[in-house]
Amino acid sequence: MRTYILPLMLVTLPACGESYDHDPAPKYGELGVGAFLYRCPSTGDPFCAGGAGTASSFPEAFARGARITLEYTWQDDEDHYNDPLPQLESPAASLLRSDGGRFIALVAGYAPVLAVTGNSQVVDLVHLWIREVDRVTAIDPGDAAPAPLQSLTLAEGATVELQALALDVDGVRLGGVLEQSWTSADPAVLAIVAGGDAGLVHLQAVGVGATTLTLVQGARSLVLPVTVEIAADDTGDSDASSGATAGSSGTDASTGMSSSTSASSSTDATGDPGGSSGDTTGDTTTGGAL
Amino acid sequence: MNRFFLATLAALPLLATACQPRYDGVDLTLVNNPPVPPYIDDTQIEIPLGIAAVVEVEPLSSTRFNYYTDDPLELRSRDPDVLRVEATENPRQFVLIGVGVGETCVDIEVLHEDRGCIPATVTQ
Repeated sequence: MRTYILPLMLVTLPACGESYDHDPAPKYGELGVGAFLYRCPSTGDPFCAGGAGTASSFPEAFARGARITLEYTWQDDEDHYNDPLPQLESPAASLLRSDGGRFIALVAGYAPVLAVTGNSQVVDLVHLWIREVDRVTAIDPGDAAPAPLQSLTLAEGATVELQALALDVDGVRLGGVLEQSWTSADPAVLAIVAGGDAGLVHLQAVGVGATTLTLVQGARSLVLPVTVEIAADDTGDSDASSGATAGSSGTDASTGMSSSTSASSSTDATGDPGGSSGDTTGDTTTGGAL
Repeated sequence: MNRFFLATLAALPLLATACQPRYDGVDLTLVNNPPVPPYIDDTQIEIPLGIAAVVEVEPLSSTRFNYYTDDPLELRSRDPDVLRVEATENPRQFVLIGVGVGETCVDIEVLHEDRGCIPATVTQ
């Protein structure tokens, strides 16, 4: 009889542990009752890479004008665990407009969000820090520690995704979904496949040549020089998705080349005269916020 | 005998009053840690715009009989467009929120009796 108990316990333990899994990167409420979660209802938010339902981190600050989606969860609180979740409200509508769990940051500064029960009692709260957008940048969404791109070099036929990222005057990454647009100066060189009106854009290098990619967010814009080169293995039967080269595979601030920039489109370090093979001294210095 | 009974009867309300707390102001204690600190005491409230301060309010008594924790206590803002006051699950805790720059007053009601107001300012 006793021999059955141990295996049973071993089987049961992981099951028990599962119920204690928490959502990633919560911001705990200031009254300690629960946690606020930063949700990702759509692509285009730099904090929502990977298409997860919840951001991998709660933004330190949000862009003024951004749309923000929050949820609330109880945190191991025996008093509330079986209670309905509270509604999230903004008490200062002139600072932060609310519509259910969705908010629009209207004014730079701090804005509180209240978790309110059905009988209009506040159970928890959090302050959101709203900052003016100082500049917009483009990053590689697949990079764990992305650096703003200064330029982009692709092999003909390659595809790449870029993510818009808004920064404040201190360089703080700003969360929230902003209205923004991407345009290619020469669609015959660089085509926008999808996401031209969102934060996450899907690009394809369609023809050899040079052009610019422009990101516009409100009054801010970024012009990114783009070079499309002949694919290194272009011997007649090239795989379009494998011929891309990064703008630079190393970091050299003096030349404006950035690390792991377009590497998501795969790189071919051999035989690439201007891309990832170490040519970081020349061209690409004109990108940046205007 | 009859006179003694009447005197006792007349003294009962006085005795009852003597055994109750006598209001002697409130003590306000900040509970949370807002990103910009407010200034809050029993004579003045000063909160920056966009800041929510959770305060614990304790009515004080000048007699040896204190208020019970379930004695009704209310805080009300005279101008909710400047300062909002929200109730919490704890009947002694309230959330004061600066929602518009300006001045107002926060009325205090203890045991359904008006106990004056604390001037409040919401700063930019």
